[in-house]
Amino acid sequence: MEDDKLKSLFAGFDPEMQSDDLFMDRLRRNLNAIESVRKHTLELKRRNRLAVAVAAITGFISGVVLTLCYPYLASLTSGIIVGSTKFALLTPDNMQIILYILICLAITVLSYSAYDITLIATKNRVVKTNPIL
Amino acid sequence: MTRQQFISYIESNQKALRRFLTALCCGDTALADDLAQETLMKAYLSCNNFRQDSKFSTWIYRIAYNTFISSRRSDRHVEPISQAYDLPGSEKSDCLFEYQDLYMALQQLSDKERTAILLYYMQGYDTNEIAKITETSNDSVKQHLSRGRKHLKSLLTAE
Repeated sequence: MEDDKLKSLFAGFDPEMQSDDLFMDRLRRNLNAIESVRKHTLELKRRNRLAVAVAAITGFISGVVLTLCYPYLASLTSGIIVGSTKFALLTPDNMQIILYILICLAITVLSYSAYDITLIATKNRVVKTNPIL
Repeated sequence: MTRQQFISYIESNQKALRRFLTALCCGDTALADDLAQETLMKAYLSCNNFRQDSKFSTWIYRIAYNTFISSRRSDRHVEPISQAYDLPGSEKSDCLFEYQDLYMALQQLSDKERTAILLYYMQGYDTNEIAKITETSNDSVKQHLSRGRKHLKSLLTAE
């Protein structure tokens, strides 16, 4: 069998297949599904970026506010020290550390809450724009 | 490449891709169509990464070849095509078995030999392009072509 015969054998190769229209319809449906998933992923990324930005701003603002309130908080805790026998054992240096830890905790909780609330608040909009979800 | 451009390119070229995959799957048109769909979805997803250093069709065939190889690696049970001889025939099934001898011969070739033969004789690619598609060297493509040709000739003339 010569090369030309092989070429002509494959040139005439035309097996019975599913119709082109059906194949293209299926492809279009698959591409639509891809587009839908792609849009949803982009929207999720956008939501996440927004939530991170809101959390960062909340963290920054609450940090500034709580730091400015530090003298007031320090005087408040010194009152507690006087009033309580157990707290009276703490030195003012330890109280300063505890106060900073409490401020950090408050900033973390506020930032996380802001992140969570933003995600929840934007969720409804995503569901409305993507009826498939 | 926009979605519309992609679809219009595929509309005019899908037949050749499906023929190639049908021959690569030794006549399993359902599997070939599934692989073609998978190939085109992968191509659509990464068509922004397509570099202009090769032809778009070469790139599509490379994805198709890799998809075929992946499907072979996944543990799929395929009935040998020789079993089709025992099936009762009708006019329609006779038409479906038109290329049975060719499919049986192709099934005897290794995947690499079959791919090289089909890309060379059916799709008209040269050895450099086949090397790009199969991601092997030009020499190894020539070797696969030579072996596959010899193998196929002996199988087809024996039948």
